Amino acid sequence: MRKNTRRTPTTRARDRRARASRTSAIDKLPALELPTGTRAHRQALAILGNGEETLPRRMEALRVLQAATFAEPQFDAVRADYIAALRKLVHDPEPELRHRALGFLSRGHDDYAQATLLEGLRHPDKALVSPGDALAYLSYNAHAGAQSIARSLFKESKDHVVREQALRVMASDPAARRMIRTTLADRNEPVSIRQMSAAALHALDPQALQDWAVKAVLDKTEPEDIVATGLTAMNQFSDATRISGNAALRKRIGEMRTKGSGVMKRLAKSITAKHKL
Amino acid sequence: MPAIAEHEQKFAAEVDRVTRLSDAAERLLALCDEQHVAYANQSASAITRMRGWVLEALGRRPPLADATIPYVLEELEAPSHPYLLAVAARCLRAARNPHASFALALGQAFRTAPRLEAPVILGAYGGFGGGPGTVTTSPVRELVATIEWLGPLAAPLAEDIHDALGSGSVTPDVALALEQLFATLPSDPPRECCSELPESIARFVRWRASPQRGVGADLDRVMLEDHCGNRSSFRGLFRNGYPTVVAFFYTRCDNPFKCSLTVSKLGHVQRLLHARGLGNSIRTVGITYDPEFDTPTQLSRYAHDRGLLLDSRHLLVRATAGFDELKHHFALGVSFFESLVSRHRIEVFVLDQKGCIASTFHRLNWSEEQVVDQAAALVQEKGGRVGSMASFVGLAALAVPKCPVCWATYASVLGFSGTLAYPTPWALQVLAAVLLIAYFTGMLWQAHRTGWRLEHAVAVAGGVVATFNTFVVPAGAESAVAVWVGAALMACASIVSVARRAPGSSFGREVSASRS
Repeated sequence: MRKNTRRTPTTRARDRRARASRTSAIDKLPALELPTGTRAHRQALAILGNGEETLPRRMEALRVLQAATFAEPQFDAVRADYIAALRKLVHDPEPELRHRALGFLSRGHDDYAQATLLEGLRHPDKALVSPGDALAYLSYNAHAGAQSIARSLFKESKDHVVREQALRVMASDPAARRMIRTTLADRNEPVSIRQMSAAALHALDPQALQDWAVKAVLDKTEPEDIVATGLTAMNQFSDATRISGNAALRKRIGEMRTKGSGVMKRLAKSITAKHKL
Repeated sequence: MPAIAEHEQKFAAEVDRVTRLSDAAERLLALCDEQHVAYANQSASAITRMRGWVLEALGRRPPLADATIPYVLEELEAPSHPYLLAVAARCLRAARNPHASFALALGQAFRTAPRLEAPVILGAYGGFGGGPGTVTTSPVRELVATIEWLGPLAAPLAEDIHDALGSGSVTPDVALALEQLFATLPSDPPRECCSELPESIARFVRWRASPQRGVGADLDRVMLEDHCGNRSSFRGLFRNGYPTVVAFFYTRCDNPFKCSLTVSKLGHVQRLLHARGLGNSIRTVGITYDPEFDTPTQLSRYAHDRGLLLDSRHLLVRATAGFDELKHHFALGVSFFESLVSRHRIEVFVLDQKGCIASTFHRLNWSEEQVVDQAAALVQEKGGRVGSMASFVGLAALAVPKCPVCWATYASVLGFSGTLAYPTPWALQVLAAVLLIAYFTGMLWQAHRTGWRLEHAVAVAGGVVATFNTFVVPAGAESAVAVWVGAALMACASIVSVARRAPGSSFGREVSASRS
């Protein structure tokens, strides 16, 4: 049985450290002196692929190249070389470069990156990044074929980050609908997991989310964050008749306008105004 | 290099094995079919690698059979993956001869390829890895080689080549090859440059069904839900007296040249139908491959974003039951990975008034005009025998007796029989036919009893006009005037008949006199 907790301070600290470490390199990026056009791209590619270069210079080269992918038509002339360089970076000893490369390749639905990530999930000894990160990258492509692995990781893993990222993948998987609904209704699940389940359910079955939202808002024993999730779902996606036709719900929302935390009051007022309750 | 899953390893080995057999071409062609068991429950990425490996094997055994060429052109017309695109471009060069019609697909691929440019290693499964006998290339390089192979027939691509050279978006060696090619292209393209596919190839991508495939009992399980949430059976939706243009799609398709384009083109079909005055006599229906995900809201949004107008005659639907039967009936070229579509071809059908498949367009890009022509031809063919629903309703209304007491009786009968809850087109046709038989029988019986009179002749004439307008005049060409003339004649007959029975009227006296 899992404890009904929010994200723990330890988890938050770990997330903060990870974010900080990823952004620190950017903060220190040096300005590369590059010519213009394709020559610049080729020079940046050379810096990026050179393991002797400093990490900040390689990161800057990567930034310049990635920016050029959508900004300059001449980039098409070096696009194949850029993809080849990114595929090499996937195995780079520098974790930051590995992550960046996997992120960029995954957004482009690159087959090589997807195959590498899936292999790492199936055989953890070959994994280049953590399972949570691998799932996050794979979630960029609903056709990557990560759904069944995501479901099994969600069931088996004790790591909240892995389970959250698994839910992102499962949000595109109709076969996971029942599991998501069960998780959303399960008070023993952490709040963050239930909130992520709500987002996943909205993608798969918006009606089911609205049904759950009504129950959650009416249930005075639900944690405030969960009720707020239910209110947000109603506020954003429900239709007025569904709310106005439910006397108990109207009454409960009316109570929330005056009682409860500031967030709840704001949400309740917003629903009242939007749906003219 | 990432390891390849065991299933794919076995598949690749099997492809290598059959490539050495004498009937390799037929066996490899069978592996191109999306419904082949090898693709069942494989992810989109896996299927891309598998199909790429099959195309590579086909390309190594020239000349390509005509039946194979649509599979190659399909990857060029709807490019989505660097490996498949590069392999298809190379494979086309194994065709017996260059043909002008290939330029269309090559042009599409050439314009898209720069965005898909990536290193591709031919001879290595999946396009990555390496080893002896492998060649590193890219989609653009292979396309340029194939355009060179096309020779003067590549003339329609001159503008694309010029643009690529001008933008500096190709590598120096590719630019050099393109410049040399550009110099050899005729400034005045030959007329056959943009010609249609030769019939020997086109017959694999579009045909008229003969005999038309009927609606089997297995389709009774199919239940369809439209973008508004209204539910209908397959027969209720398609056996309605109207030809229907049916296109398959799903909203999560990430290939912009497939589903998104298909639904946009369905919108164009609607506009063409309206322009030809056929908007009310030919329906359009888009059916999703992904009924679990494509909810009515999702369907509405998708249609709206692509300029498709939805109403009671033009729908997007999902199968809430019986998708397998639907898949079997249309012989859909789609494979699934668990509940997700992993691969599909472009598929458009024209159904006749009875819901039977009359024409099929698949795999390659289809012409909206051709589809509309096929559907319009069905209206012309069947119009003489089957009228539109409006005519049936009108006819039924004309044929019933019209006193207020009778109307209450009809309402009761329709209510307890459940007819109103299930207002299917065939039910209305049956109702109209039964009422007409009753109408004419009653009229003839009355004439037999009293002798032929003016009102009988007028009533029969009115009935004949209305019946002719509904059953004989082609669908879509029925005349509202004829309906009104029929109605007026029938109403006149009723008035004359009643006036004859009214005491004191000249007709009444006439009746009394005749009786005495």
